[in-house]
Amino acid sequence: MSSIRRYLVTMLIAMLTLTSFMAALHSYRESISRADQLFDDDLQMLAASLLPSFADTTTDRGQPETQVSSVVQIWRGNTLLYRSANAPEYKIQAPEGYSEQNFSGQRWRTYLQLVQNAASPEAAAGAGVSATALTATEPLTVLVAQPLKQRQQLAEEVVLASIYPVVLSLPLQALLIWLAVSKGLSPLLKFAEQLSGKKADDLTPVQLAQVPAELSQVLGTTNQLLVKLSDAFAREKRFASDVAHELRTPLSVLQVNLHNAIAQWQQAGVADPQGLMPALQDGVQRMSQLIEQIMLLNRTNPEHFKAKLQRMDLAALCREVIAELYPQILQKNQQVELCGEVHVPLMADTFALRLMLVNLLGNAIKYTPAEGEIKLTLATEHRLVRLTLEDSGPGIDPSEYQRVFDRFYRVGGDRHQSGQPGSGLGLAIVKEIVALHAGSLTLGPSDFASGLKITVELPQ
Amino acid sequence: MLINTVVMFLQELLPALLLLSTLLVWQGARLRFLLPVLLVATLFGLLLIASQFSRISDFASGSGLELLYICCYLLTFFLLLLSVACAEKPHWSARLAGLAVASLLWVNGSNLVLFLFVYEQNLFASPALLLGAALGLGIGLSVAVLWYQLQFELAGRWRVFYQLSLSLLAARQISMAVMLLVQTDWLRSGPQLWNSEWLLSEESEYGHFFNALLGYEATPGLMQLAGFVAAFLLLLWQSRHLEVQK
Repeated sequence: MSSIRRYLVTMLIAMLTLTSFMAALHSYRESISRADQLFDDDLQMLAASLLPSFADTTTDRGQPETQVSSVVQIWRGNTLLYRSANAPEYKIQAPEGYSEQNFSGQRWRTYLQLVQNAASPEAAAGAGVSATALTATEPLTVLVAQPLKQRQQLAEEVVLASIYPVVLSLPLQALLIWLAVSKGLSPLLKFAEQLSGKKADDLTPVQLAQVPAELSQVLGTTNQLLVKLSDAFAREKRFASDVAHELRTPLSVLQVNLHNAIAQWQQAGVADPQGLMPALQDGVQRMSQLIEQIMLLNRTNPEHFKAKLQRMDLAALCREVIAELYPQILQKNQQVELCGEVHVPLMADTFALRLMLVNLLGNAIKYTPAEGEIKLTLATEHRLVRLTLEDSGPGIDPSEYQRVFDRFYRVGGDRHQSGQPGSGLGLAIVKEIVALHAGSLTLGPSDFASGLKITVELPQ
Repeated sequence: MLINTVVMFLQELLPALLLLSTLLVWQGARLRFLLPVLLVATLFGLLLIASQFSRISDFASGSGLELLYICCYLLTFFLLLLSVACAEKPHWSARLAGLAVASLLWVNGSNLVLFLFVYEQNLFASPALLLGAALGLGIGLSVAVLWYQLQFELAGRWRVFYQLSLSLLAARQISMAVMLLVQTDWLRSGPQLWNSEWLLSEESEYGHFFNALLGYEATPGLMQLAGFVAAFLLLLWQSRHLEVQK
């Protein structure tokens, strides 16, 4: 079921249409049947009313009054006593009672009454005539007929008038159903609107003016979850911040003491026979970097971070970051090239984008061998800014493309061959920053002989 | 007149509407492939048939129209079979399904065009005809919507239900083709197998529904039943791996 409203509206309209139309059809059939009965009764009454005039041959019959559309023929034996103006001159062949016959170029409903003679009191009584009135010996035949088409038309005119409202009111009923269903679902829609309109850091309970019984349980549970989630986020944020702060201080002290110890040893001429001190220094430095990265990851998490979007120039920022990291580039004698547009205006958070560029370029410098090449390209297309970073490093196997964005994941794991210190958090941070700006991030092989190409697309 | 029009609309529209609603349960997500094919093929097919009515009728010693209808029924069945067989290629499967409904509408649409514009010639002048058309259309569409929902609910739980209903609808087309072949003396009917008129009249509302669904006949011949069963089993076997969206 893709939409509750669509389901309810279509089902209700379909059921209403089916039942009301079937009822209308049934009513039509019944009404037409009743109308036929009435017309038949009319024919019978007409025949009965004509009988007294012709039963007694001694009296003057005059001209009976008949309906213009009806046909009347009265025969005694084979002698035509009377026919209406529209009746044929020949004897219409029809069985006694009701039947349908063709004559005069159309189909007729006929009623034929046969009165044998005066000696038949039952026939006379059936015709509503006194037995004494029937004196002749030959049978008297009274035939009355109505055109079938005219009867049907008359009946339909009356019956259709009662069916029209059923059909014509359907669009109005459909509209009313749609309005009623929409009204009934409005609390649910408001609830959904409030939930979808919430910002990432807004975990305040949802408030609805009117809460129907069916929704109160859902609303209550959702609000409880929001409160729990808010508390959990606050705890997580505080914990990460506290841990990072508490670790950073002793690590700084450790770094200073280590530096002083090495200096004192050197002054005192104490040798480091197994060369353990530089390894210790590297370890402490790596741990400091890791803590910095964890703090940055925590800061850039879309659930916590409020991006301050402002108009900035990505090309200028790239130049700044290259200049900032240039000492490392120079140290490895690498070639860095910035290609593409000179000004790339963009609505973005400058701090976050700088962090993203530092991570991306830092990684490229770190994993590209000495005298290798790094190429940054900027382009704008269809209101999208495309930043492409390529290097001539060892690259990444395509099967690892998705996993490198996982936190603490490093290609090759513990057997990482680059020999470069790293926390495995850089690309996870980049991914979160791109998500923060509703952009996309893809990896692929670089256009150099080997290496990685990272493409970041951000909306302008 | 009104009853005749309603019956005519139900007889002609219900089979195509039931087939379409059944196919939408399966191909609903690919409506953008099914619908254009259905609309274009139906429109062009009907225009072509309507413009060549007299020629088609005179063809094959006056059995041209029956011959065309037989071809359309057979085409509907084979397109359905092909659509199920191409289930792995969803876009083509949806297009073939649209074409199957269109080929059935060539038969039913032609009959409606004949009834409304050739025999009567005054659809908008006759209130009974107009009202009958509205009632027939309304009932047909309502039944199709309810049938769609029923299939959607049941097919989600029991896949075999959908396979059965699709096979029944497909086999119905073969049954109708065989019936026309018998009517035109191109095929022997074989002995009449039973008479269920007392149980379910072909002219009743349910009779029309079951005729549209599975080509119900109160007095079926052996050939008609044999054709129906063979077509039903073939499509049921073909659709044994058919997956319906949930």
